[in-house]
Amino acid sequence: MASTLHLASLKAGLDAVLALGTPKLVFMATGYTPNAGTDSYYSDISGSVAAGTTAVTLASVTTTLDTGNARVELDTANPSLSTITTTTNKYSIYVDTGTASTSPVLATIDIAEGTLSPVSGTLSITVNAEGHYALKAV
Amino acid sequence: MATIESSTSVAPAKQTNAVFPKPAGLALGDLLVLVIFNSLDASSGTATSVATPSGWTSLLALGTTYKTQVLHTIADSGDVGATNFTFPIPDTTSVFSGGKLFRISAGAVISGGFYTGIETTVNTVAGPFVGSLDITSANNILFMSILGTTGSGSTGSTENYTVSGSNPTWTEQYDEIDTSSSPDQQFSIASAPLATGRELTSFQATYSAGSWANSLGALFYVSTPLSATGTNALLSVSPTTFGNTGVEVGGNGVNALHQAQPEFFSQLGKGTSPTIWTNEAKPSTTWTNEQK
Repeated sequence: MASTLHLASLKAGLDAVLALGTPKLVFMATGYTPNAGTDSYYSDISGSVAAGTTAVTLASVTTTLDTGNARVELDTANPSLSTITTTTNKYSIYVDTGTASTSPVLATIDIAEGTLSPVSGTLSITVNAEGHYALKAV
Repeated sequence: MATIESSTSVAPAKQTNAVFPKPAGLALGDLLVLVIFNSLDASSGTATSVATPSGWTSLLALGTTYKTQVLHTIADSGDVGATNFTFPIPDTTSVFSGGKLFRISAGAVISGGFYTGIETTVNTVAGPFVGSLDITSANNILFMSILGTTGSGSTGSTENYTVSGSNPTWTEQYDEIDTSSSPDQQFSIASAPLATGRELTSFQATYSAGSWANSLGALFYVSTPLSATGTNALLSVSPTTFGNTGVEVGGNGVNALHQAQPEFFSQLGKGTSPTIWTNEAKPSTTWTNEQK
């Protein structure tokens, strides 16, 4: 008999965090190294945001039970910024409560293509079909 | 890649307004770039600048007696619906004006970088104008404008447009000589694609005929916004479960003898001996009842 977490509770926990405020995405500087332990709130990472960018309010934020893979997935619409000149290779997802020191950071995710450097152009992410990340039950 | 889609011109003349027909196919969001020359007839005084219309931005205004200006705007619905673009010439009695209005593909931008030079010696070469234009973007269009006034000779054209380093292929967009004024004047504009950004430190052009003095040179560029789209691999987080030791209840267990070690406390003893009383012997008497 295998130990397992239960999907509904994982989803409920994630939904509760998302409900704390407005889910947002921010592109990070290439020199930023995420620390799972200390980078807890937006105030901890705001100094490492990629120059020239602003946070993107995520649309169509959904948490889905994928029972086949025993996991809960977080998905959103594709985020983008226009008329941007910057360099980035990763992005962080956080929930904006209105106060940086209480806005929890959920994940920092590498851009698969590596470093992107738009010049007065559009910076966008085509989100993986499965979503940004998943919490597995087993 | 930014491209010059179309353009219209105004030949040098003394005119109240420089009226440029709308470039063909102008659409919402296109970049409009105006290069306009003003020069005084009689080569004295100050050529008054063309005013920057509302919604336009002045990139550069070079010179005093002779002037080169570059203005630009992003076409809005009013521009798309217009027939002409009219630029009033402040002094029409002694100023010659002329130039070209370019329509550049939507999304193109003028970053603001440029450098200019003024040469006052009589020369068959305009320049070299030495400076620095550091272009960091890709897919650019370089523009060079040359204004020359002459003391002798006034035929021919401007040619051999050159920038430092590897010289791109130039296309002359405008080359007009006005001989009705005094002195004669030559206005020219050329463009070239610059695929990869780099620093330009000098530019020049030559006059095919005659010697021209008071050359004004301007070098600027238009770039194409570079967009970037990335993707993400799904970040999958797996839980860590901790092994727990089970306690079996209800089965036959074996218990280890639990021995408790007693602790004896010192006790203070006290013993007393009672007084032993001895009854005295009591004599025995036989009593006889008296007769009543």
